[in-house]
Parts: sequence; structure tokens; C-alpha cells
Amino acid sequence: MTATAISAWRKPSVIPGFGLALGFTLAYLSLIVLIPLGGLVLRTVGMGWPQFLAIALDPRTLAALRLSFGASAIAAAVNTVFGLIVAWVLVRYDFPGRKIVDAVVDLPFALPTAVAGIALTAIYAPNGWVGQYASAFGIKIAYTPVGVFIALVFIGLPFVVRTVQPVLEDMDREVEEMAATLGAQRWTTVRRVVLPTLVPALLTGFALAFARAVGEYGSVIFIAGNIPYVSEIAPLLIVIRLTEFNYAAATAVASIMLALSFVLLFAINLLQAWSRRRLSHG
Amino acid sequence: MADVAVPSGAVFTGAATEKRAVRIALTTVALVFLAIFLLLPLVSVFYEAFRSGFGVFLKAISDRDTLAAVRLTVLVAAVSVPANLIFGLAASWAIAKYEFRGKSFLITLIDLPFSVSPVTSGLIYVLLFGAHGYLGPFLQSHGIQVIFAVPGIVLATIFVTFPFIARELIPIMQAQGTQDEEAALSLGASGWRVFFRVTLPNVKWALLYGVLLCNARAMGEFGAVSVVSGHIRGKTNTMPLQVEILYNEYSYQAAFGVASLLALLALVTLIIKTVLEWRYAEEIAATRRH
Amino acid sequence: MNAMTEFADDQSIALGAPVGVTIENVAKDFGDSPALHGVSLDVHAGELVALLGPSGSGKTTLLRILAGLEAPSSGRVLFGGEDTLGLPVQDRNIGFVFQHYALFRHMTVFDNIAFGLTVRRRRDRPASAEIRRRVLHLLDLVQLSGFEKRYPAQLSGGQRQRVALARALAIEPRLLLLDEPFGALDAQVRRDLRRWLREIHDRTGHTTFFVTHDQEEALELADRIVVMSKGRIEQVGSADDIYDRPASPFVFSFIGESSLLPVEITDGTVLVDGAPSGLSFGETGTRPATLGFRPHDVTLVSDDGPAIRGRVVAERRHGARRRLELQVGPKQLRAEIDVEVEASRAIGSLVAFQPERWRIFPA
Repeated sequence: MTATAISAWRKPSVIPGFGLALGFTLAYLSLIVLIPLGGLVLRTVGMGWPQFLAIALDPRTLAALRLSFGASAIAAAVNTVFGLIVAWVLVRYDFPGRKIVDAVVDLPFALPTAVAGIALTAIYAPNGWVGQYASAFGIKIAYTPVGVFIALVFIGLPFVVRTVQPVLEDMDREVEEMAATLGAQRWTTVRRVVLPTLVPALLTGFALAFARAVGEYGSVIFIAGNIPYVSEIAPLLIVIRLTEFNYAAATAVASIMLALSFVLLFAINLLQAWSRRRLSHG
Repeated sequence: MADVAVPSGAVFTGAATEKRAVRIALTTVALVFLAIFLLLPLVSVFYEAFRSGFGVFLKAISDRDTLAAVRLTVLVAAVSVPANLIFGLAASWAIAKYEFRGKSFLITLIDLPFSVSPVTSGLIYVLLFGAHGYLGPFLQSHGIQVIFAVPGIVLATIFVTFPFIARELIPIMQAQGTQDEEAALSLGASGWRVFFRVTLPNVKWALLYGVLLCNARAMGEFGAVSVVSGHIRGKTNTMPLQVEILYNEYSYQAAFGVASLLALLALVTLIIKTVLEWRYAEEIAATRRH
Repeated sequence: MNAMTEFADDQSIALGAPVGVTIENVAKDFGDSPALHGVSLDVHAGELVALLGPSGSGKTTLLRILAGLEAPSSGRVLFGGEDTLGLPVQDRNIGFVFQHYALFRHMTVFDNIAFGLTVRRRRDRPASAEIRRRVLHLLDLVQLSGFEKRYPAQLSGGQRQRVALARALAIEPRLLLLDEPFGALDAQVRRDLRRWLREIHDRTGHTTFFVTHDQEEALELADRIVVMSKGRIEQVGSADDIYDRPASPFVFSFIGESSLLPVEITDGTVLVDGAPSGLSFGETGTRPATLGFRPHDVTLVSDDGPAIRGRVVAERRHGARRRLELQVGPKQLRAEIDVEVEASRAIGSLVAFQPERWRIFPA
């Protein structure tokens, strides 16, 4: 980079290599991510409204999207509750094996999704370890939307735990002691003092778990049963359309999913920024 | 601390903690939840893999196609992890050591693959390189096959593991600032020398951590690879795809055998990760935001 | 800054009748390291008491035990004669102010101050109009009227401190406990708030404990000072007692500037480095002791008579006078004395002096 290239858009620095590092970054980013994703957008735009709407409003598409987004929302909500409890217990209580339990939380990050998928299916199938008790009560888990939900809980949990945990660790315990000296019972303190400060982290955790769940494929398809209109998730529908060489349909569904995810993430980001603004420093 | 040195008979509980009964209840809920949702699947993989004995397991994993899948998986990881490693270093260097406009937008773009479904990740390469893709006819006329072949699998894997290493490196490099590099430069070291002797040693644990996570995902990726692979036995099947095929053929024992190898990989990853976190807790804490 | 006169009905702030506090032999162990060894203290209602000591002296632990945030390992604490053992922190009716304020970041100033009232059980809770009246009154008291809709992040350090105090006063506490209340503030703000706290105390009459490591703060503010060191009380007394009649070398050196020299007392004469210092201490026999004096309490004497002698190793301007750092005797003992600027000596020269006021402590 020559001196003349140092213009208003970057601060001068004595450290060499800016041109090379940023150049490589942008080139690699473009080749791997931006151009291929651009292709998807181009295809979608190229197909025109009538064809796009026909695919988007196809009942099978709608059913798949509803299941993917619905089950993901419920799973992320469940994970927000239990993830908070897990993070709370890991940060605040001491019990034998705490560090090992802490490590186990990351299992869904490390375990390949296909492995998780067949393992969950084995457990929740009608003859499985858990499935047999459920079916004794007439409840079917595997090969139903409930199975989809179970798989999405599995893959989403660490996102919530790992976003809430550092915030809990940094939390000033004096604030809680303060509430106690002012006469607040423990539950009141938790409800009115602790939980409100955790809201941004909980929202982030929810958003991450949700975003991951919406696109999830490997862990779901084994346990879902994949019955069209009932337990067929949107990513599977993309794969099915592809194997039918129906590229337009695959592209349209993928674009809708992408767009919906972005809108939701954007909304949650706004919500987060709003709640974080009030908590900024101090 | 709450239970320490409280004389018997005193009804004190710490002001900033819950009653003992509540603590026990919450701990139980958390542990039971983790046991059912996380531990049980892991245990069941190994149980199913070995339920008919070790011999059957060995036979299942020494199958010719399975071994080919293992080789392909290692190959894919051996290409995609270094590729993303070099990218991660370049991106974190550019982002952490300089101030320029559009930086946060660049970070957002780097994170983009996290919010794309693995299936879509595969699809975009099919749209680009497939027989009906933008570059399909051109590639076909030159006899190059990307989709339903190893290059496509590698590309899709690089896409889904794209942010892993950069994400670990950017925050820690930002936290470390530029003073070390400036000091080394003022002592007359060249740019590359500064990078290898000052910057890299400063981030080595975060780097290893990122490589570990990237590798686990690269070897275990299923959705994206499934779309571009074509499922040709012995040729374009990675281990996770091999699991699927065996499972769909009702070869449960074999499917779980291969799955147990992948689960073992996950366990090893977790163990190394945990040991790293225990030993280099402070250094890694800066990067701990998934 | 003088809004004090605007208050007519101060009684409405201090409805919680102040209580006397008795601390009997209180000890506290954290694991195996003792933080307090058998501390006893009597404080009468309405007193303003400073717990003064260096970090690790146990002063904050004692404050937290009073609040009920820690349980003593042994001993008793009585409020107005009533044993507090087993009385949970929520029911103690204590106003506590933390060093870093511990304000509720997600609540407005109004909600922070009202918190202690709004968490009461329904039958004890004042009506919301009454809560509002009290909060606004307190805001007036801490000179923050008009700030009720702000969030803590929008306040300066001194303003946050005043919100923290108003919040503690809102529950009409029997006892006010302040942990390093001015520790995180600038010097100027500290001085203003210190004076202001004294005025509030004089008008509201709470029994108040405050923890500090700043002797100036303790001397200026407190009715009585409790000097603590290593988990023990070294001395309890007024500012004059502590300054002029220190009970131990620790108190002497911790409060004000001081020099301590090991000496020997032989038949009524104080020997420094084996030579007579010109000081006499009415006592027969021979024993080692510690001589303490303050740098500004010395006079230079002629070199041929009895005196303490030292060699100047450093000198610096100190206010209106000049401070000399001396090396006394061959054992590298250090002492500091103040002299008139024109009487200053060159580095390396020998100086003979005698303390005008001094104390002898058993060695």
C-alpha cells in the first residue's frame, strides 16, 4: 500500500501488510461466500414473481416453513428457560463434577449432526430407551413434529448457555446483596433485579439457537419421519426439490428461509440494542 | 462459601443466594435436563455400536466403503481447515490491527455463513457449478466436475466452517492491540517476522481452539455435503454420509459403528477444548462468545 | 450547594428510630483464614462511627456482619439490646451503601429509591402516592430533584453516590452502614460529599457506621473512630484521642505522619542508637521500647548536647517547610523531620534534633 492510498477511510498505521491481509480477506470472502450467495439471489430474482409466488404459496412449502420456524421458536424458547437454569447452576452453585458438566454443554457443538440424529431416533423410537415409556402413554415422539422439536432442543442448548454464562459470571453480586438489605426476598430480587439485566443475553441466546434450528438438517431428518405436510422441514424440502431437479423450487424455498431468518435476526437485534442501551455501563 | 463456617443452629443463608432446597432443586433440574438431552444420545451411540459385540463393530468399520469414507473425510478436513486458517489469520490481522471504515460490516459478512442453512450452503454451489448452474456448461466442456465430486464437498465444507477460526482470533487480537507489533517494528523486525515471532505466539491457544472447532465441524458436516456429494459409495461419501446410507439400509449396527467413530472425534475435541480452557482460561475467555 | 435550609420536616426522613449497637466478641473465619478475632464494641443510638484501617483489617467484614450479609463464626450482635442472630438481612431494616453504589442499572433513579418500599409485603407497603411523595422528598434531600427519570448510567459518580444514599434512607433504616462511601470519587467531590453527609447525619440522627481507609475522612466526619488492624480493634476514641493519645505504634503510624525509632530506656533516659537523646521517661530499669514522634514536632538542637543525630539522605519541599529524611545510626533506621526552609541542610550533613512531643510504646 502506498502512502497515497491511505485516505479518509482508514487511519494510518506503521504496521505493514494491510493491503495483503485485507485484499486476501475480501477475495476469499467474495469467492467462497458472497458470489455463491449472490448466485442464489440472482436465480430467485430471475424467476419472476408468478413462479416465485406459486412455489412460495404451495401448501407443501407453507407447511414445511411453518414446521421449521414454529418448532425452532418453541425449541429456542424451551432452551432459553433451561439454558438459563443450566448457566445459573454452573456459575453460581458448586457441586462435584461441575467442570465436567460445563464441558458436556458443548457436546452439540462437537457431535456431528447425523450422529445426533440417529442417536436421538434410537432413543425416542417407540422401542427406544425413552420412546417405550412415552408410547406406553400413547405418545409418539419419533417420526412426528415432537421429534423435530427434540432434535432442535439438542442442537440449540449450548447457544443459550454460552451467551448467558459470561454475563452471569460478570454480574455484580453486591447489587443482589443491596436488594436484600432493602428488604427484598430472594425471589423478588431475582425477578426484579437479576433477570432484567439478563434480558439482552437471553435474547441473543434465543436468536442464535433459533437461527441455528431453522436451518438444521442432519439431526432432524432421521427423527422427523419426513411426512409431507406433517413432519417435513423446509431444508429437507430443498433437498427433495433438488433431487427432483426442480432447481427453481429449491432456490425459492432457500431464499424465503434466508430472508425470514434475516428479518427475525434483525428484529431481535433491534430489541437487544434497545434493552442494552438502558443497561450500558454504570 | 455459603455453607462454610456457619454455626449450627443459625438460620442464615447468604443474602445473594437461594435457599438450600431451591439450590438442590435447580441443580437437579439442570442435571436431569442435560442428562436426557445431551448425555443420553452420546451413550446410546456407543451402546448401539457395541451391542452385538466388538467383533461386529470391527467388521462394520473395516468395510471397504467405510474406510474410503474415512479417507475422504480426513482429506476434506485437511484441505478446508488450513484454507480457513489462512483466511482467519488474514481477516483477524486486517480487522484487529488497523482502523478502517466498514469494519463492523466486514465482521457481519464473515459471520454470514452461520445464519445460512447447511442445505442452502450446498445448494448455492450446485447453482454455481452444477450441470444446470451458471458455470456448469463451461466446466462440463472442459471435463471438470465440481458437483457430485470431491471439489464440491471441499467447497461446501469450507463454506460452513468459514467463520470458525476468524471468530476466535478477531476478539483476542483486538484485545491485544498493536503495541507489541509496534514495539517489534521499532526494533527493526520485518513485517513477516513480527507476525511469526510476536503476533502468532500471542494468539496460539485461541488459534488452536479455533482449529479444533473448525476441524470437528468439517469432519462432521452433513447437510451441505449431502447436497453436493451425489452419494457415490467409496467415492464421494464422507463419514456422516456413510452413516446415513448404512442407516437407511437398515444396517443399524454398521451405521452406529461409523457414528461411534465420529462421536469419539467429538469427545476428543471436547476434552482438548476443556483442557485448553482450564489451562489457558484467561486467554480464551476473551474469545468466548459463540 | 446549600439546599439544606429548604427542609422544614426532616423528621419524616428518620422514622426508623435509631438504635444502639452492641458487638460482643464477634469472630469470623473464611475457611481457615480468620478475618476477625473477637471484636467487641458499644455504639449508642445516633452515633456516627468510622471503622478505619488498612485493607485486610476486617473493617468491611465487620460492616457486612452488622448488615447480616455475613454470619459471625462466633459472638453476638445486638441492636437496641435485641440479639440479631438468625435475623435475616431482609428483616434487619438496615440502610447499606456500597462503595461502587450497586445501583440497579435497569431502573430509573425514582425506581431505585422506591425499590425498598415497593418490595414490601402488600399490607406493609405504602400507597403509591405516598411512595412517590417520599421518593421526591428524598431526592430533594440529596439535591437531585428533577433527576427521577434518569438512569444510573446518565449520572456522575457523586450523583450515583447520592442516589445510593437516598435509596438506603428510603426504607427508614434503624442503622446506616456505608462501605468506603467516597472511595471511588474525585478528591473535590469527596470533600463536598463528606461535609454533606455530616449535615444529613446531624439532621436525621441515624446510627451510622462507615468504613474507610482514609484517616482524614475518619477524623473529620466521625464522632468516634474505631481503628482496626489484622482483624482486631487497635483503639476506639474521638479524633483527638486517636491523634494525640494513640494506644499503639500502629495507630500512631497509621494516623498522621510519623517516625518510629527503636530505643532503649535506661533509668529514665531514652537512648537512641546507644546515645542519650535528651528525652527522659520516668521509669527505672532497662528495657527496649519504641519512640514515636511527628515530623513537624521537632526542633533542631546544637550538636554538642544530648540529641538524636541523623545524616540527611534526602530533602524535599513540604508545604511551608522543608522535610529532611534522615538515616539514624548504623542500622539504616529512617526518620523524617520538618525544618524551616532557611534551616535546611545539605545531603550528607549531620543533623541533631529533639522531638518536642513524643510517645514511648513498649517494644
